[in-house]
Amino acid sequence: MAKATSYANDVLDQTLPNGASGTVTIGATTYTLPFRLIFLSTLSTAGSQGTEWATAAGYVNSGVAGGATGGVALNGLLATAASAAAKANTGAVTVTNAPAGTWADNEVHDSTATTQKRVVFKGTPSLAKTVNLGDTCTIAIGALTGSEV
Amino acid sequence: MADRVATQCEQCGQVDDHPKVHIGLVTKHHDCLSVGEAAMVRESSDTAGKVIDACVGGKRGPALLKHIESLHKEK
Repeated sequence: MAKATSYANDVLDQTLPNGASGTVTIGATTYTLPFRLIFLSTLSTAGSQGTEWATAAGYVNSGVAGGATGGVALNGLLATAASAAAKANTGAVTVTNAPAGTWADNEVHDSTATTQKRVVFKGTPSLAKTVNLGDTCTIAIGALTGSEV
Repeated sequence: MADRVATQCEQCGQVDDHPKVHIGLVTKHHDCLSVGEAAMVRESSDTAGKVIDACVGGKRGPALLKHIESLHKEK
C-alpha cells in the first residue's frame, strides 16, 4: 500500500514543523517545538545519534540546557506546509564562528528539556568537511529535505 | 594560525587556513561566494553578513578570525 499524498504531506508537517512553540504529537509521543538542527562530527544511525559538536566558539551543544537550546532552531526556516509529499527548508541554516572539527552529519530533534527526542538525520555518506575555528557552516535553501513515498 | 588545517577554496583554488564558508559540500572564502550564495548566507545570519563584509573589505586570515571572534563577543 502506498501513502496518499495528502497523508504524506501531513506526516511531513509533523516531521519538519515550522513553528516556534507548541507541540506535535505522533502516536503516543509528544514533541516540543521548535525543532532544532544539530551539527555532528560522526554519523547518526537509525538507532543512535552521532556525536554532536561540543559547545565552543559560535556553537551551543544541545546538551547544555538539555535540548531546550542548542543547535539551530528551525522555526521560520521550513516550508509552512508540505506539498507533493515533499518538504524543504526555505531559509538557509547557518552557524557562524564554528568550532574546529569535522562536519559529518546533521540531525533534527525536538526541544523537550532534558530528554530531547530524535526526529530525522542525514546519515551516510559523511559530509567529511574539515572545519576550522571561525568558519561559517551553511545548509543551503532546499538542501534540508524530507520526503514521503 | 596554529592548529588550523589548510582547505581549498573551490572558487579561487587557493589552499590556506583562512576562515571559510562551507555550504554543504562546497567550501569557499567569504569573498569568493557568488552573489546568490552571499545573499543566502547574509539572509540566514546577520553575523555571517558582517564576516562577508569584512572579508570583501580586505580582512584575511588571522585578522578575519579576530574580527569573527569580536563579532561573537558582541552578541
